[in-house]
Amino acid sequence: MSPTIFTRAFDQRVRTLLGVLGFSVVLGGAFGTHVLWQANMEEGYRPAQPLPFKHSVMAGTHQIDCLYCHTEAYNGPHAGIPTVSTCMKCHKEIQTKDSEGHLKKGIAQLNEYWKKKEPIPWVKVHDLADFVYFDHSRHMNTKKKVDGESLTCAHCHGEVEKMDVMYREHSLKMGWCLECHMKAPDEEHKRPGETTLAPIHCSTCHR
Amino acid sequence: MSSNDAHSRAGSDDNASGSPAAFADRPEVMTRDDNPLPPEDNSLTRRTALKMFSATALLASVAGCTRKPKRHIYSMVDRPEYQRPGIPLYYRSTYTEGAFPYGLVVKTIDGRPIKVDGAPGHPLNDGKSNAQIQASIMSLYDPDRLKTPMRGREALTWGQADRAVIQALKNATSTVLVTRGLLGPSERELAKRFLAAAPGAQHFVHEPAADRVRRAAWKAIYGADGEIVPQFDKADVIVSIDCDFLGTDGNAIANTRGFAASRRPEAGVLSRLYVAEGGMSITGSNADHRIPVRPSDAGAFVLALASADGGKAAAAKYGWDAKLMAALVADLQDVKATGRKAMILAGAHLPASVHAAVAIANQAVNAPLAWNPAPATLPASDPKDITAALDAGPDVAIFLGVNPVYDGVGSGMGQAAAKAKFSVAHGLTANETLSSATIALPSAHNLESWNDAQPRQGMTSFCQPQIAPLFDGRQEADSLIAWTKALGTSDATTNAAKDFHAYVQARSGFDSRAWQDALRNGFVGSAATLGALPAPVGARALVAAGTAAAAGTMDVILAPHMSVGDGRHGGNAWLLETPEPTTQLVWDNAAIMSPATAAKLGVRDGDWVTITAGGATLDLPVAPQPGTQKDTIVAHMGFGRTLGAGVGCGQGFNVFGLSAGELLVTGAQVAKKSKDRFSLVRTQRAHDQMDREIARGASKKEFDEHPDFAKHRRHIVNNNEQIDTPWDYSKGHKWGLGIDLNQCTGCNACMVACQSENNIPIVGKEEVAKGRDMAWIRLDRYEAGDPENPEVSNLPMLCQHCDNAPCETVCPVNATAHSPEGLNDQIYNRCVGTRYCSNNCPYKVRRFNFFNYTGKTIDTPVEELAQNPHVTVRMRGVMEKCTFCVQRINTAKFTASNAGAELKDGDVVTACQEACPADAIVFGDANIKGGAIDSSRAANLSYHVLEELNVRPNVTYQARVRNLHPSLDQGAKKGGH
Repeated sequence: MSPTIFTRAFDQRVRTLLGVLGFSVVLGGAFGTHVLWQANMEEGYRPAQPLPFKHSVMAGTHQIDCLYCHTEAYNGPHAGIPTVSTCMKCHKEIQTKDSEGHLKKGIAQLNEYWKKKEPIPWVKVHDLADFVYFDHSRHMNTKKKVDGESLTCAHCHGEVEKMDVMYREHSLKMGWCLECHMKAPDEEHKRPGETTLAPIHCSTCHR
Repeated sequence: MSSNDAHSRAGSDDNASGSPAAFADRPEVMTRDDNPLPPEDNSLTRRTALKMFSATALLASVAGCTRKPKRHIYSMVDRPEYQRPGIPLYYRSTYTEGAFPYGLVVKTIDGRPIKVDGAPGHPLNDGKSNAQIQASIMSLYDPDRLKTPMRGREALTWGQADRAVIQALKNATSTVLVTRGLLGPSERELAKRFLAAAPGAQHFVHEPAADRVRRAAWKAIYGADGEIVPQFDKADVIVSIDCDFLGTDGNAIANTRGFAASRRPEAGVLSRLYVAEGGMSITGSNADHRIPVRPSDAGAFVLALASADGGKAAAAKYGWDAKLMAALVADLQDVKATGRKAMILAGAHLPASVHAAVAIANQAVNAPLAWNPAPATLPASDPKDITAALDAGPDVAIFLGVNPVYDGVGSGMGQAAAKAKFSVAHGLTANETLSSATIALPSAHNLESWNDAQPRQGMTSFCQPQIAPLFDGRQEADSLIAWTKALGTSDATTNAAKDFHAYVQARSGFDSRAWQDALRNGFVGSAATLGALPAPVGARALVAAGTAAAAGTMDVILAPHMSVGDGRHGGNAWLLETPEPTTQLVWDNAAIMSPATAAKLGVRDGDWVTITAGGATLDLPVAPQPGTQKDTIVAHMGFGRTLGAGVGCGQGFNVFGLSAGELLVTGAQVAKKSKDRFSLVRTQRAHDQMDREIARGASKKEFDEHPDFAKHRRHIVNNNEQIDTPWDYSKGHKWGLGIDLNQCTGCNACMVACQSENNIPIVGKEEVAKGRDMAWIRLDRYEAGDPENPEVSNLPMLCQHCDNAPCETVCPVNATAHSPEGLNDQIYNRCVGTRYCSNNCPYKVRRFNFFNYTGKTIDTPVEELAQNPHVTVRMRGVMEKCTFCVQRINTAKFTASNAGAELKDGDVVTACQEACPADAIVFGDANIKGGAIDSSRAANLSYHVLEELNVRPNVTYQARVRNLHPSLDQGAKKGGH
């Protein structure tokens, strides 16, 4: 038996300390990974929605213009989501049934919301922080071109017409916004004093 | 338009953050998709189960830290007409909470009102507002509002309540109806129908702070009921005798507007204001010459104005400044000879003899006074009559929008209210009167009600609801209709009306199209229907040689408070934290007396005194205020609420016990009371400019000799250094703000407007005491000269958006930075709260959120509705300050750009500018040549505060010119240039 240098109690304390330290390292690692993993996950965020609604059918197959439902994209800060009555404009007539003659699930749910006069609780996909004030109308009405192209919905929202369940194509983080805003100015549509494509000072979006 | 077509509450926009109650019972909608619990497995050992448990617990806690909560975005079922997500809609309405039915424009976003301003073109306020109008948003979303009809502690349905009231009315032989004074033509008509239907009914008007005595005096003097409407913009000389016309006496918004219009020295227009007053009011703060006069001596003062000796004898007798009296008398006497106009105004609390003397004096000075033969408010009843009627023990007493149990304690009305066998009280909160009534009924708020009002003959102003009643409130008139119908009436309009909305519309006689137009405009009829002032036929009989006040006694003025009024706004936290303009007290009232009197009594700030008058006693803490006449005490009403005032309960003291309804108490004895000191809290503690020339001013003579005096008050050493900036401010927009100190009266409307617009939290009395108040714009007040009658300067102070901003260079995280448009941006999400910026700010305009004030004060979903969705709600640990209403700048810029247009001067209006009744504030793009800011900066009087620091502020002030009487004008006090 080796000579006792430290008391049993001290040994115990050292072990506990090492254990706590080790646990903290594991915890910190897990936390860090989680944060990074989350960041990567934000592109492609695809929450489940209350209705089996498919943009791929509406915007893809039927070629319905985005503005038919998101009416305010040119007019104000929020593009808006369609009212239940907008859905019912078509779905009063289009009451698709499955092979067994039952109403399709989504249609039945929609009918239910309409009957009860209740809003549909969609889950936000493009959810910005509360201190960010993005304005759809400013982006839709601008004449400025990004790399020679006019700005379209797809620049930020991706190919919605191919999405079954809506997901976040781009991260919508500040760095991503600035990628465009900091490009060289569009000489044709430049405002006096402008040195970037779009304003990059803080109060452009934060207020 | 029905009450709910354009104001649907269903649905919400992208900013939906809560979950409507409709989904509370639908777990499948609300369940998180990422449920971390593992599926149950019977084969698990204890060890693995523990492992998994800890792992999932860890993951759940980590996920809880970093992942944003899943948020919903609710579609509307059907979209109300014109409503678009996030885009404000503006509706006109009428303010019915005070004595004057001001026109309103209410900004609603997604169906909820978030900001109230004045309606442009309305004859009473023409687009402008005051602190109380601005704060009405706060009282709408007040969580302390009564939610349902009550009998004692038992909640009733409206049906049960109505049945109980109607039963009592049917069995009654005597009924007393007590209402507030501002009743529109429809409400008056309805009251008449009710009185005819109810057995033995009497109607009284109870307004504790109304100009009851003066109105009765005018009726006797001019031969008919009516009100004098002073035309300030036409007056060259204004003499106010205890008349706080810029503060609480009369239509202060119109008065301020007219007065400010007469104070434009650079345009060569400058009226002269003499104020003779007992307390220091904001009118006195704006005076060119001020004479402290005891209210008891007001009659002698008016008589001295016409005396042959130039007031010399009176000045000697009463201790007034003889030179000043001589100047004033001379000024008035040569008015006719020089073709000028003068007017004399007397305060509402002064006795009839003073008003009679004033009426006679006004005849001699071309007084520009108009006469409104049909005021919007009914004359208030004598409190003694109301008390007598209630003391008789009527079978039913009905109180509509009045609170006599709180404000009628001096006249015995409060105690007499309990003698009614059955009492009904209608009110927004369960206040003192509602709590002691047999049946308490919740009222609908002004912004939830239909109404009409008649501010001028031949002109009707309409009030329409901006939102369906948030709680189960019903407006008082709807109750009257229901009760009148049940009692039985022969009136077809009443019988046909489904509710008061239908009643008002039917009475208007408009078809549906004309009705829509009237609501869109807010009012119909011509505004210019004021008559000429009748001859004061009854004045001579009323003039009495005033008896000198008894020696050793004092006068007590019970003055309505600038913010909380007579107590009806006593539960409004915004108004409670708005400093009283002269004392700058918040959350309290006090016995305001002259420093000399306080010294004589041996009391300091916060010491208690006992005031005894006519058998009543009142204990109040002392607040010495320079400028108060030495035998006068001012005590503000509106405090000391005990019930139904939310955060206002227990703040300050109820002063109504001192008088039986008179606003002036004479013969009072004041003595020191030995008791613990009371802590009075002010937003500003030092009032000396220390020669820093912050609020600059000069006399007329100095201005005439040196029109640019303001530019040479400071010795500037080197103002050439500039902070390195990547921006070229000469291109694009360059925002600037200008404040004309000749116009600003210090009324605080801008403060509350800013609070409403920018989601500024209140912090409470204790936090204000620690200097943690959050107001982005404040009214600084400086006093100079004689401490018993100082010269006062007001200066609105807000972030100066310096081009060489000292705050920006010290921020370690770049949370405050300059924009190319000259704005000093504050980025909340980047701020870590070091507070270096605030330490380095020479103007002390940066505000730090020490605690989560917003979260602390807003704990119900209904209060969240008051927040402006266009402005970030700030958390604790974040610095904040004036942004020049950047949300309004951005909205205006986007609107113009979307339309392919350029911004024009005047397209951006800040909240403070919009509210300012004096039009003292201008805002705009300094790069627009000849625009509002360019011309404000080019003015001779313009200067920057603390310009010697070379911080290059973007707020320009224009120095104030005092139009002293030539015989008293000494010219420059200190050497210019």
